[in-house]
Amino acid sequence: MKQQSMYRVCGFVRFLVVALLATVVSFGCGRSDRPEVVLYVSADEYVAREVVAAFEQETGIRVRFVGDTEAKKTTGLVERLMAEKDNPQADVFWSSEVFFTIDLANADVLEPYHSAATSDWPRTFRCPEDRWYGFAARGRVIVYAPDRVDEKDIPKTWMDLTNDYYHGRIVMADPRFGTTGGHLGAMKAYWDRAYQPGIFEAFVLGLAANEVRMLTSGNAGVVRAVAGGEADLGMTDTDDVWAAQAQGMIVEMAFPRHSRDDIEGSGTLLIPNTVGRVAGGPNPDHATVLIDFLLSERVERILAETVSGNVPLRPGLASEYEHLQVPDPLQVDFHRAAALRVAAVEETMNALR
Amino acid sequence: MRGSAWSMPVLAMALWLCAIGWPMVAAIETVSRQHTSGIEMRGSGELLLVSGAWGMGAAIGAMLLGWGPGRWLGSALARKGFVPLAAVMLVPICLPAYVIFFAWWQAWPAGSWLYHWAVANQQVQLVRHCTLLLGFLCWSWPVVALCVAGSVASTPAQRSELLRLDGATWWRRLVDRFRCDWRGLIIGGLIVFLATFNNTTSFDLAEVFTFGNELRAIEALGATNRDVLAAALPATGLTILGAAAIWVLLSWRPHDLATRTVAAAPLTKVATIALWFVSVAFPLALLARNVRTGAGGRTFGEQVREFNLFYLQGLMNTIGVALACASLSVLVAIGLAWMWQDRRGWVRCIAHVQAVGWIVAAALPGTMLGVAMRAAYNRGQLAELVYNQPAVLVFGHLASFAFLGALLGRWVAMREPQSLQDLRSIDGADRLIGIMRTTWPRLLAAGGATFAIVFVLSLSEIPVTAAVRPAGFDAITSSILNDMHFQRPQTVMIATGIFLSLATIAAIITALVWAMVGRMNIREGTRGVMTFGLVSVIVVTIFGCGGIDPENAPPLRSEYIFGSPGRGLGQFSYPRALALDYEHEFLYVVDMSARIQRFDLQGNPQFAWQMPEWELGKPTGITVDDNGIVYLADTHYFRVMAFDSEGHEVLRFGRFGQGPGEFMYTTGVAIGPEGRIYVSESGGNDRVQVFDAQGNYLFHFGSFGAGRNQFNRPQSLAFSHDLSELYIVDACNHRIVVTDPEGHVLRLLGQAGVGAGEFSYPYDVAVLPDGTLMVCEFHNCRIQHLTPKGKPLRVYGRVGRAKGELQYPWGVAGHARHVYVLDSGNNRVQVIRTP
Repeated sequence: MKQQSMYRVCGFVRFLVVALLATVVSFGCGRSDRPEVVLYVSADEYVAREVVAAFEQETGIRVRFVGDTEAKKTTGLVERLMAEKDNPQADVFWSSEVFFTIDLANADVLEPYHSAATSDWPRTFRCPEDRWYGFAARGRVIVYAPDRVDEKDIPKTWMDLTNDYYHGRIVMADPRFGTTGGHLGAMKAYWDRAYQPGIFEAFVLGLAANEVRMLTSGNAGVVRAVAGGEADLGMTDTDDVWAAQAQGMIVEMAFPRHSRDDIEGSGTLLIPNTVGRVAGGPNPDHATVLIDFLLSERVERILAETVSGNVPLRPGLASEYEHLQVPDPLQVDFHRAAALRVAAVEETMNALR
Repeated sequence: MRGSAWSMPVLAMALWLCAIGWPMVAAIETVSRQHTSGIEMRGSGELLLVSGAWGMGAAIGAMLLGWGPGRWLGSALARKGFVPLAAVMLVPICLPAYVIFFAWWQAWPAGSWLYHWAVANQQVQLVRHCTLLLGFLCWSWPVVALCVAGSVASTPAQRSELLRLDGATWWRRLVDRFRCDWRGLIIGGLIVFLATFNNTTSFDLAEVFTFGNELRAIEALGATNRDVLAAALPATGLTILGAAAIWVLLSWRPHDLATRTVAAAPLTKVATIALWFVSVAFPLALLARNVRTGAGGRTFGEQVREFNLFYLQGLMNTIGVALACASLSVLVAIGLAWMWQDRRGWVRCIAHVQAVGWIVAAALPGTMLGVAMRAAYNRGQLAELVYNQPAVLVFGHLASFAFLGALLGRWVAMREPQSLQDLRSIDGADRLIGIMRTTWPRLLAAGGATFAIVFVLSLSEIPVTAAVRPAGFDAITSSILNDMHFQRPQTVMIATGIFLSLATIAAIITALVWAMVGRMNIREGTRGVMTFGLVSVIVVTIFGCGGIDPENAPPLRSEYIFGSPGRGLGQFSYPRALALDYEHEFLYVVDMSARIQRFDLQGNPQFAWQMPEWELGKPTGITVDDNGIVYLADTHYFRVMAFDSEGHEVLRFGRFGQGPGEFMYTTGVAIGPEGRIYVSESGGNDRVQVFDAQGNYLFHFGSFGAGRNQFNRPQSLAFSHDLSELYIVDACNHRIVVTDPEGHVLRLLGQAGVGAGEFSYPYDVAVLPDGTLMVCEFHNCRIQHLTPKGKPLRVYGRVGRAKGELQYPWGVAGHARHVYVLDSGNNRVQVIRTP
């Protein structure tokens, strides 16, 4: 190769280097002056985008959106918010559940928030310090295959899952992620209060005796396993069952109670979506607009009408969406449940793995 | 090295500092301040064995499958066919292993004979595991092939020919080939082992508990980064050992360069082609077969459009980051290769330190790299410059994958026979030009391999992306994974198809360029490659800036502007609708303070009144009839209200519901013949209702959807009395629907896009006295002048705050002399002369 040509090639290499660096830098170009707000959201991205689009069209405020992967099931964003606490980048956190939100509130990652929209918010679905608000819930249910489980054999209570009859037929999601761990914490909290300590431990041992299988693919994987015939029953959420039915899977859901004694308020655990304002976020005014929008009737309506079928918590909407309502929602202290979640999960993992 | 030869090593060092050096220092500082949480991994030994067994299985399978294709590739290394062959052979790597698993798992869904057999015999787990292994193998055999190619290229053909002449049996020849290729096989096998061992996404989908999954689990339980780092030590150590083994194998220096390599057997070529089809064509076909019509009866075309709206930017972003990471990895390879060829010990030592840094970083869990990036760049000015920009993703991916550049740079440095190296140093040829002359063929091969492998690894990367993705910077990989979990194969299929199409196009372009360069002399070839590189950079830059945008339209030629942010008379708080009463020379604007303000046609404010209720929301539509009565679509109160020019209410009708005369969210109002009131609504009804002048219901037309007589957020209306046509702005379908007064659709104007005659979220339309239309587009930040048939005449406006620029306009109105554009984001009205 002649020397002059080699010099040209070397010159091209240098040119390419500069151009590539310019490309990397240019990724940051085009940032507009449009008002914006940063939203971290762990709800289903598909559904969240619809809500975000409605907000942007309504207000003109651009939403810079960070979702989570289903594989991490909320925990990824929670870790990120905790890590960014000293220099927060998010304005609003919208979670599809409540327990990790409580962890964030306890760590002062979320700050107290008040507005006209929240003044009459029900205490049950609201942080005592007003750091988060719950809306559009989903229920913890048992999914079952109607062709393999007779109606008389459908569990009436969660404790029924320890019955020998269900040996080897039950699956659940890995409780260290998602709502399953929160449900276990709620069980422990409720049974410790309504009965006595030790009921939850006995329940877990019963699950172990029935060789309940844990799945890595989450609540959606539980429904798929039941639909596919790998198992006959599974512990999951209502939105996963609705979504599976929309895809044509043959599954049904049951709403077992948390007591055998038919105590009022011992029915289905409702896990709300939650929203909170991140302390020190870059756009607090726009965060206010977004939070009020997420807590509006319109969003509850959108979430109720999507395939996830979230349960509206507004009394006015509840009558419109009767088919989504769950019987006798479990009366449990979410904070107590969150505090017991890790211990409940560890006991479950010790028993089942 | 002397003079200009230092440029590449300095760049490699700078990249190392940005991606490894500074983040590691920041991470150590952060982690050292943390306390232990007491949360430990359970069964780590057993999980290590499980992960190791999977890695071993995938590695052995990949070595067996990739050996033959590697020999074919190696035989082409010294020939012109190498680059196109390598480009095609690497296409399967563009599909992440979890996508291939997902595609093959769709091949035997619940209800199929295999699944039925598996359930009946309780072998679902076995079938799932076999499918997962298939996914790993389909993804990994090209990696082994690339590594084997390098070994084959250094084996002279004379060796094989002599054996054949001596009458050696096929077994003997096979053993001899193994003796020549074993380094490449082992290197490829080790890379596949490490990639499989550290994989989490594929195992997650396939219900396999592995070491990586357990690591994520203890994080979810609240383990600190310190605990996670401690728990990850065995896997980190194993990865470092594997990388060290690769290092040693790459350090082997051949005695001579092969002058002629053995050609591949025909059977090898056939087997390679078959393998390629199994890895690429069949998974794509399986995905396509299992795509069903989505919810709401959407056709495939509608799903593609939805994908375009929601995911295309994420796809472009992901590709852009992967391109940047791959390119920078090549620079790392080049820089380190040149440093290792320097005679001075301290230079080589710095290269070793850098290489160790790249390898150690690659051995860390992805979430730990995310912690390091956050600790390093989420502070002060760096947060704005790096952390909130895609640059942090590029650095994170570099930390994960640039070790390949380091390894291949080592290969380039060590492949030069000692004799050549001594000659080069004796001659003093250690400037850039000398190094290039002696290393160019190997550099080209190593650079191509680095680029290709890092590109595809970066495409499918999830942990680092999830940890540090900047807000508003979509990435397709998370969306694909989520849609797999929620059984929405449509998105997976479309994204996979696009990945493969891009890879195939790149392979074809590479082959064409290579063919052109081969026929050129050096001067022409260099110019050709520079042109190609410049075009590639321009294309990446365009995509990196968010695609083609409509900012090239000329600005509005505003004669005057009125309004400013505020709540006083003449000020606006995000105005969303305006209407013109030309006869009385009034202009009305309604904004988010729920005020209706009246101006004269020169923009002087005259009067304002408040909506009776506004807590639930504010109106988004307004119009004026011939008598000067102002009609408002009171959106969040599900009604229409009418006022006179002094703000006195004269009419209201409507209530919430879906029945005749009931509304969900009223959006627009227009006055038609005989005083008819046309009202558009969205939020589920997505139709147009027609009332008489007293507000009594007459009829309605339209429903939600994308069909001819359907709407998706009809945002506003306008009626042309001359043509007796109603224009309905169908915002989310990106078109204007033209009907007669009875609601029969006459034609559709426009489609989604940024070109002239195309729309992106049109929000308003005005009929000018000559019958032409002015359409205002919210998302494209412009207005268009069209004929009634939709032929574009002019396009005005670009995004911005200066005079003539627009920020997400909501409305437009016009008369014979002027057109009024409601520049909502800038809280003003711009007035231009009517074209």
